[in-house]
Amino acid sequence: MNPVRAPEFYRLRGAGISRGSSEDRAISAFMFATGIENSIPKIKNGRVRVDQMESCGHYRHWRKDFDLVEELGLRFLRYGPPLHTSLLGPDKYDWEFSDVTFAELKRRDIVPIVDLCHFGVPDWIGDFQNPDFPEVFARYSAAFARRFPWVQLYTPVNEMFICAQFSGKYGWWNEQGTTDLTFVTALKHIVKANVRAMQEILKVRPDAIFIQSESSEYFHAENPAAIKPAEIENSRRFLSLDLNYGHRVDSEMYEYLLDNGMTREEYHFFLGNALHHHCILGNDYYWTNEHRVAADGSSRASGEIFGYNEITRQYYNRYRLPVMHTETNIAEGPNGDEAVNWLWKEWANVLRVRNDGVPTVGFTWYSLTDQIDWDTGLREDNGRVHPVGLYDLNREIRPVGRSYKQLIADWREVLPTQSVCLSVPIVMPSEYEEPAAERHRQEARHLRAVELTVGESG
Amino acid sequence: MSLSSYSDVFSISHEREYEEHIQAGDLVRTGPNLFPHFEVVAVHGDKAWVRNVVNGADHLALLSRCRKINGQSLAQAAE
Repeated sequence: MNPVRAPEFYRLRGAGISRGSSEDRAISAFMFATGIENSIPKIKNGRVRVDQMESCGHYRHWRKDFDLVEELGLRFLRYGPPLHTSLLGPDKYDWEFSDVTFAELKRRDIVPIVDLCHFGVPDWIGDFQNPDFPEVFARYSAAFARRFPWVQLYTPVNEMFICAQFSGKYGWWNEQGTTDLTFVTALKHIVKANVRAMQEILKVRPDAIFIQSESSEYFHAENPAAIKPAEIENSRRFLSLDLNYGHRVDSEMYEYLLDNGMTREEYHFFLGNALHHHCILGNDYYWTNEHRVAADGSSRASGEIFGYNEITRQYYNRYRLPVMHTETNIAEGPNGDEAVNWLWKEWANVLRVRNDGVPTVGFTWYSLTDQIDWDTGLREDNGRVHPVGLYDLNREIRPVGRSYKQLIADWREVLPTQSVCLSVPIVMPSEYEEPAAERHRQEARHLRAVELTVGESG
Repeated sequence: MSLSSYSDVFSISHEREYEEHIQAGDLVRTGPNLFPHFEVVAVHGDKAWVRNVVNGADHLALLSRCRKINGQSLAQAAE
């Protein structure tokens, strides 16, 4: 490995208007990020609303949380308004909390990667079986983009596959469905909502960039008899991104989708509205993302077998998009260094992926603080602290937080860049109103118009 | 042979760095932060057999990293 220092002429911002210090420029070259956990599924047959921003104290400590983001040396934050309290009815919104928090992010020049739907919908929508959800959500996304036009990076729907799987197949969240029909129904509504949201946001912000945050999975066959069911699962894991990027699914998955409620017209909506060229393939990896499959098709966690490097290459080879590691964490345990070691391992994997030639643009430890009840996948309302944060819930830094801060300081200016020419064209919040940024948007608007003329299926 | 830790890369020490007598039955943390919590099942030499109070998982921890919950560090902070 031969780390390369970013040269002076490195064009780090697409608008080409960077005038900051060398440190600022280096920060933009690679997106080190964290996130504020904001899951909002309903559980217990809809009787209990989970709200991680409430249980983790963000509503009370949001200003302190932003202080901590800066303290770590981070400029990118996965963050989103609480959908269930912001989307009050059709075209009816409450932006009170968003107005104050996003104004503060802009003032601090922190770049939010805005996550508009994180595992739940407002009560009045019901759940992901509701066919009205995609259009309602698209209008909500447009309204958000109009209100906060300086926001450029979006994850419209977080972890679409997991959301559909836990809501429509595992029976854990929201509709608590347990059939292939409820899974496919949730999936098609969720992915359509994501695509429609991207379309609407692009009308407001033609240079918007969409960073999917999608779980990257792998299913290992326990024995030869398990190969077939494992292969099916290894095809199914791609469904959300296949539909989102307009990538043709394989014939077995096509039959599966149509056998479980998707129509040919619905399928062709996805093929005909591909926006992959506006996207970064954000992938999440935890030690629970690999599974072993038995001959009867049942599966259980395998722990880390292949790891982030191998699985990311599988996803990259399928979609050929720039990659960002958008979530990882592990709980601190009895040695105190479990999360420190995991951070190092994931970072080593990111470097491996990058050094193998995959355009890799960011890394995320998720989340800023500890979480609540993720030890049961949010299925139970126990109030148990899940110690995976960079900070604990008293906002005291954890060893992994100190490590991440050091890692960022060590690496942000000496990343082994395979290409110093290709970088994410990010306009910092503070640059939004500058003439060069406006010219950049005009150019993007023109390109978008051409794109719409020739069709989005390319 | 014990596995290495990358804490040294980041110059992080997990040691308690104050005197505290830990014994079976104590409720402890094994780092400076609030959670996770463990119950000490037994102590032998420089090791403690600890049980995670949330999930019941058993581990061996270094005694020098154990801190009593509501122990000295919190008491000092309260002064």
